Amino acid sequence: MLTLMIFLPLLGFLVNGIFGKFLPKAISGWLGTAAVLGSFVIALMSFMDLTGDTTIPERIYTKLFTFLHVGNFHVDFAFQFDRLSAVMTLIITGIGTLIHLYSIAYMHEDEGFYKFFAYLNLFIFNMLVLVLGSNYLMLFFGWEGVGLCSYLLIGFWYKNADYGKAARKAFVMNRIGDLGLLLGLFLIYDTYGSFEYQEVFRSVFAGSVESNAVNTAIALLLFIGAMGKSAQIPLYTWLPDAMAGPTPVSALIHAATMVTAGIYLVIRSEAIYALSPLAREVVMWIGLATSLMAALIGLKQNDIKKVLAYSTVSQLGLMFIALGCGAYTAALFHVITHAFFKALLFLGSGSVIHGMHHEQDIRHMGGLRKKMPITYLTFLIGTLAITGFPFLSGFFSKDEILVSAFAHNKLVFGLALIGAGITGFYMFRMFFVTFHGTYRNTHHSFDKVHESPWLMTLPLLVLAVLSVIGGVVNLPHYLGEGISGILHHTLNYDGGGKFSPILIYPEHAPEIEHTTEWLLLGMAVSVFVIAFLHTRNKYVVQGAVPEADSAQTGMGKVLANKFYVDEAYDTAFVSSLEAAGEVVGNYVDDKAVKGLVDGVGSGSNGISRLLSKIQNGNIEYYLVYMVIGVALLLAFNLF
Amino acid sequence: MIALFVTFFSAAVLLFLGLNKRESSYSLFAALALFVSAGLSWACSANLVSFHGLESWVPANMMQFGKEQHLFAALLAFIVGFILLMFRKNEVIGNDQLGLMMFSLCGAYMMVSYQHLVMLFLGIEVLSIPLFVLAGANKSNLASNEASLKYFLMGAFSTGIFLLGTAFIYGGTGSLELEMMGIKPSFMHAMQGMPLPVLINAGIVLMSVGLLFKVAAAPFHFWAPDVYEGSPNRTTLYMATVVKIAAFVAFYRFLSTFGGIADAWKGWMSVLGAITILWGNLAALNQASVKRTLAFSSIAHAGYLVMFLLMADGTNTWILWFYGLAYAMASLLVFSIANQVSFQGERGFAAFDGLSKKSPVAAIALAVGVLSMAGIPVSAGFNAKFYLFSFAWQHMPWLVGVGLLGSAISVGYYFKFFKHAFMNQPSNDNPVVDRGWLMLLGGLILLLGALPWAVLNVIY
Repeated sequence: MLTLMIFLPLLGFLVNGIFGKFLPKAISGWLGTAAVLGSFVIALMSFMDLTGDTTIPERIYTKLFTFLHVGNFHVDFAFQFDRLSAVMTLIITGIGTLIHLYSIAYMHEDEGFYKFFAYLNLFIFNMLVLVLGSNYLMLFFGWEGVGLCSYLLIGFWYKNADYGKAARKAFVMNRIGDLGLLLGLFLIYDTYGSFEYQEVFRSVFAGSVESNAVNTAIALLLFIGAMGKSAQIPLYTWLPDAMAGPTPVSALIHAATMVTAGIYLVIRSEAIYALSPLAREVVMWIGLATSLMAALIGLKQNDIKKVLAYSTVSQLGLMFIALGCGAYTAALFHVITHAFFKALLFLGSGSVIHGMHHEQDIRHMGGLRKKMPITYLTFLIGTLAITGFPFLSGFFSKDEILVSAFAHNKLVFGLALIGAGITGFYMFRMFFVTFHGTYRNTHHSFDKVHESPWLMTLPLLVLAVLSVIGGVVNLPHYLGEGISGILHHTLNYDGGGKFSPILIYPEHAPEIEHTTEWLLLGMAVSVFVIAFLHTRNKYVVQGAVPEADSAQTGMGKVLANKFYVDEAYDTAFVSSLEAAGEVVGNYVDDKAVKGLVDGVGSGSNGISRLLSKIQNGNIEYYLVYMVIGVALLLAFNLF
Repeated sequence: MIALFVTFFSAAVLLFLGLNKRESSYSLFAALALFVSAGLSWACSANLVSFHGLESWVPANMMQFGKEQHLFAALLAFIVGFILLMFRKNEVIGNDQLGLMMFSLCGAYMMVSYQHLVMLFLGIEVLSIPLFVLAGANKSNLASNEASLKYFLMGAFSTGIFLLGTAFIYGGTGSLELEMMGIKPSFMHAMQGMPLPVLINAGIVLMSVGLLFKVAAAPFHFWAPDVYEGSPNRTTLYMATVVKIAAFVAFYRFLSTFGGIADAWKGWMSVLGAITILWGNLAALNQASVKRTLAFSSIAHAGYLVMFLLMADGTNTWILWFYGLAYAMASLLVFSIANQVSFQGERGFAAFDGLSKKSPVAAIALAVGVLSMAGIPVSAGFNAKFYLFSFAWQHMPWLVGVGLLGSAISVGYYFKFFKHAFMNQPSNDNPVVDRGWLMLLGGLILLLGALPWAVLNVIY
């Protein structure tokens, strides 16, 4: 069953990839959707089995074949389905199904319709490999696979130079992350002698390593990988650029699933992080810095998808704060609710873009609520959920993170609260400017704006319902012991005596008095209210419209330009790397060779001249380099 | 041994057949002969057949074919067979050239199976001398002439250094036989902590320089970009794959002999490896010409393989075999497509423009080849790098770090292939033929990516 769950999307990819050209669009689309839906159903059934039936072992494990076996070096190609994988699988396939459905309508005009679905299915397959693999190497396979699919899908629509840059940036930044991840993997193998989660964690738990310095190094290296995939400082700039892809891709890959792979990695490696307070502090502060910085940038963006992109970066930062505080349940909880409302918001923005005939600038929208009632309503719910409107899903998950931050470090709590507050400002700003006020577009008349077809609004409605009630997976304890903390119990399951729990070192609920907790709740709600009232006053009552980027001054200009990080990176890394390439390249490829080759191209140089160039040109230099090399080597060795 | 005989005699036959004709149809015959050589060698390695009579012709202290030597011979013959097969349609290859390439391959066989340093020297020369001619095979092309001359001059120079090293080794140990060297008193003393005789130390350095030159590792790689670019494509491909693999096997066997005093050479060797990796990858970033990019990429791959030398204890040759196979298949794919789309003289990446529209199959095959070279899973190249890096980690972790950094940088230039093949509009209508072979190779790369151990179990 496990194998079928994983390979259904691959099958969908193969069928669509090979025969897609000959299939009608409707069949391609529904086929792709059905493959993911099938996985979802199987995942749901397996999850029921896993949690309901006590005769089933703590995890379902399937080994397909041996990947490598030399001496005592052994790696299997194997999958495991435990409670953590199950939660991730349900999110991936559940949201995945809805987004496939949505794409049938959203992409219907596109030429490469079947290719799009093939890539989406391939992505889901790789994502499942990532979360269901039973060892770190499988995780790495999935990790690379989703990166590749993300890159293919970013490139799906935008076939211009800009796209090339965006995709290249995404790829290179992810490779830097992968570098850290791979080093971490090698270090894990070197230290614990295995890639299998169970064996590694058992050794960690048994304390087979004397010094925690190794664990800290592993944890930090893995975190570098997480930074790349989950867009944390300093590797976050690719994510907003990746929004060049079609909107469903942004919703699925760059909001709900792939970018949470870093969170999954850290939760999975909890045993290692538990032993390294230093690594956790690093995770927390980087998460905090990312969360604040992205939120600030979000304040001044005018592209509807860019706002959501920075919001995603900011929310991911929030999850890393939770991980840094050791609140793994809170982080996973936020992954779940974030998947609901961020997918909703992205799909909603897609619906707006669709209805507005590919307009993405919120300054050219306005008053859309009259034309797009369902989109308006669902977008409102998404906005309320992300900004922490009481008793919606985002409220509970964000609150849990804030509470653990408070218990851990008051300063972190304060800054995270400010970050959460800013969320309210930029989200309501976008919401009001888009849906309220007057229509401001000069290209298309207001009459042409239309609501999207039911295939697009249905997923919106489902996600809206989930965004409202999503909190039930982990209600706080003050709402009653019986119904609260389901996710907490799932993650902290003790394995029924066998060694296979997910969190090796169980979490403890933060010890905070009830009155303090209510106070924190009050603070969170009042921040929400301030943000709501301020933006409503500014953009609805006063009818303000965000000014053009060029009209920004002072801090606004810095924010609109995203703190100039792109430019800084360009100077610091891209240019310097290219300069290094140039120096290294030219050192060899000096003028004479260029002249010679150009000469051959134009045919203007005589043979004798060329030969003389060869004779007294570089070959002598090459020989000199060689002699110097030999001399240095000998000198180094003999003296 | 059987591969050497089959290849040598079919090459000789080819030369006579082609005395007064210049036709391309013989390349199929040559490829067939090579595949037979490969098949027989593999059969020998698996003990399915044996040719003891033949093997007794050559004294065992000169050349010996065990399981591994047979496998490497099979690999090399297989690669050359594919080169001849895939390049047969674009250029008319005279039988003289076919024969020369096969003679050169005989040198490669000797390099993988030598037991005596004289045989190694002989192998290197037999490998190299035909190559000087093959590099200049495009007689009307100045770049090709230049390549030939450069390769010859520098090759002669490095041979001199290599020979001097051999003499020193003889002076230091009193033997040229691999098996004898290790038990000579001077050597045994060094293993027991006594200072290493200067002659042996200098000998190792000088012989290594000669071999590092052949594999194009820094700082002895300067010839490679010019020679690779100027030579005809199939010669370039031959140099980048067969020469490199044969030289690394020879190198590995040579260093394995001195495994007991590894501390004497591991340090500087890994520094050279790191420099090669970084130099190759950085320089490749800014090249406008496809072949130059691939030349620097192959320099970088030589750098990765230096890691392999560091674990020279005679037990890990399968890693090199697998790496060689993966790298050769990817190179075959990329070079073959490059050759087809750019044979009208376009040297830049523009030759790949719009490949996905002209021929989706070729574009996908190209993507598979490039991803494999860059080491992205699921591909043979990833597994090869993974095996190499995970074993090297135990010997020299920091060099593995450099290797990973290098492969991260390499994405920058491998990316260019994608951009041109998938994003740009076609700028020429050079057709892509041989789609069947491209698909086969692409499929093999993916198969070795997904089920490496299953395949290795059958073959190795």
